Amino acid sequence: MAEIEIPAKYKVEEVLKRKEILELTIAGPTDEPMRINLGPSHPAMHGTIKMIAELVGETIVNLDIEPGFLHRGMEKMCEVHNYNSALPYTDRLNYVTAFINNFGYAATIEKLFGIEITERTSWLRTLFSELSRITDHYTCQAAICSEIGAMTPFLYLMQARDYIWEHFNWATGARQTYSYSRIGGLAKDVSREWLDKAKEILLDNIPLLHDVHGLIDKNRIFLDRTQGVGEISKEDAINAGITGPFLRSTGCDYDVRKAMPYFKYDEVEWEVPVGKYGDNYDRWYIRMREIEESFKICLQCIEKIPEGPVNSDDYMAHLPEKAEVYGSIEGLINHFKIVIDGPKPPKGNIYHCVEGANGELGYYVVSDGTGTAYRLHVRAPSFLIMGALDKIIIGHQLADIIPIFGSVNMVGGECDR
Amino acid sequence: MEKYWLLQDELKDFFDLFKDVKYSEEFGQSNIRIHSKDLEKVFDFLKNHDEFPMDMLVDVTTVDYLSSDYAEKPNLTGREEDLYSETRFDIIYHFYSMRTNKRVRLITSCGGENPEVLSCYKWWQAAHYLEREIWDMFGIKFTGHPDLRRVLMYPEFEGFPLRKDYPVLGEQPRLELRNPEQDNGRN
Repeated sequence: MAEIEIPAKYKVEEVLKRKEILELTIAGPTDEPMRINLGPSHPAMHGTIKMIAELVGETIVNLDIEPGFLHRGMEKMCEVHNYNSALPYTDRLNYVTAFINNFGYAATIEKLFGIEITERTSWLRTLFSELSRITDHYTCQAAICSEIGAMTPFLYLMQARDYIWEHFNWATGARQTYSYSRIGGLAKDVSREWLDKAKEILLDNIPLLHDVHGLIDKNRIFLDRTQGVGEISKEDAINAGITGPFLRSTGCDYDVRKAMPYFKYDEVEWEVPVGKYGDNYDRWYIRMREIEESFKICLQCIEKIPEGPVNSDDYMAHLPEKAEVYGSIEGLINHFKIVIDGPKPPKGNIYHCVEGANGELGYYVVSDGTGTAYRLHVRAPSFLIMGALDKIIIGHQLADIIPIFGSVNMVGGECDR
Repeated sequence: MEKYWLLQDELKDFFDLFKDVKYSEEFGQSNIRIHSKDLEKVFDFLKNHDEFPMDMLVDVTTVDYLSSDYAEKPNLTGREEDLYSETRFDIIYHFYSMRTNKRVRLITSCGGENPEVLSCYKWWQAAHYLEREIWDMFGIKFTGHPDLRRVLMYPEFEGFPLRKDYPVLGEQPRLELRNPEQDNGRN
């Protein structure tokens, strides 16, 4: 094979003689900060966040975080769609835990109407929320592993997540955005076989968690990248409005499921894991522990789910059964009224929150008595975390951005809405 | 949910201190409506309350009452002259007291040609992004906020998208390609 001829002006020794290169090498490092732009097209920035870091040497002295690349105007859309039609928008908030968003939204509107959900729905919602939380934590843990360079746990966890997602597919017909909830019930019931299979999947996942613990927990590379990196104190975290696993890693035991129990969280046995230092490693470990607690809740739910209807018999908000619609004039009118005008709650404003995967997921709804929300605001936990993140990262090195950002589990859909 | 909200009887000292507040209860949740000139005193009071120190600012958001015949603001019905009404916007604060597990909702109004209220960043850092979002979406200025820029929208965006007079299908002009030397549109 003939050797490729390199033109003389591109040879290394010639290039180094060029004036601008010489200036660079002679000037050496300066005190003037250098600007580095990370993202949004950076795999570790999830494609939705841009960071402009100012560096002195490798230390970050200033950081500007720009979210908003996934902004879709969800709150504006909810002002022109009726309460039932706005439900699918909540799927796309935290798209890894669409169930929790669905149920949080439905629970808010149910409180507005004063609808009581049935026992079975309440248990099923608890079960689906926790399965959903497991998939979210799997995703976050897998992402931080792969970002730090551990490919094996990434693949283990992604595979495990996919078993659960495929199982959701069986129940709801979709892997990720389910729109499974209805105001006052659920889209459809699940079968006993589905529940048994869910139990099987959960029990299969327990040895996998042990494998991931074994691979990561005492790994020197992982410890170096995570311990003592990205620390925040309890007081600062509370002041910055941080909730969820992030807050619990600092030593505060605030969890909406315990503090303000909704659905059936007060009827199952579980505990709130709490960290100590609030660094990346604590956040990793808290999430691992939360997965175990979620397993516990899920298994108890599967045992305790009673038989019964899933939809409440209060047809204020959700569509009546098809037999009713075709068989009686009341059902037909009810159906038409809900489709055309939307469900009409009383006037007033209401705030209701559930524990999302990243923290307190709140819905603030102002109703003016029509079928459409006058204003719907989502209190997104990721958004508040992004607001506090720059202070956590400043002072660390450039390479530390990746594990810190990975461990806070920012989800673009929820942050940008 | 009622037991998680601070109701009137528990906040006696608050109502003793601030005489002209309006109080109402909806769905077991308390609404405390205060005048925006009292904000500084109220923030100080709530943050350092003896019994229920509100150490977490859960949420700040805004409602635009321009086009509504909503009972709370029946005077605003989308007329041209309502654009600069002094009570056009409601700013809603949700506070949470970690130790006592109690919440409270505070509402204040603002409006006029250049709506402006006091920022609570000095008391709660959580206001950093929440207030930037309100500036971004409603165009309400927060005095005392250290870094009030758009957060979800891009700097060249014209208008404020969540105001009721911004059309749902509103379109924006095309942008010139940014010069990367200009630091991505900042400054």
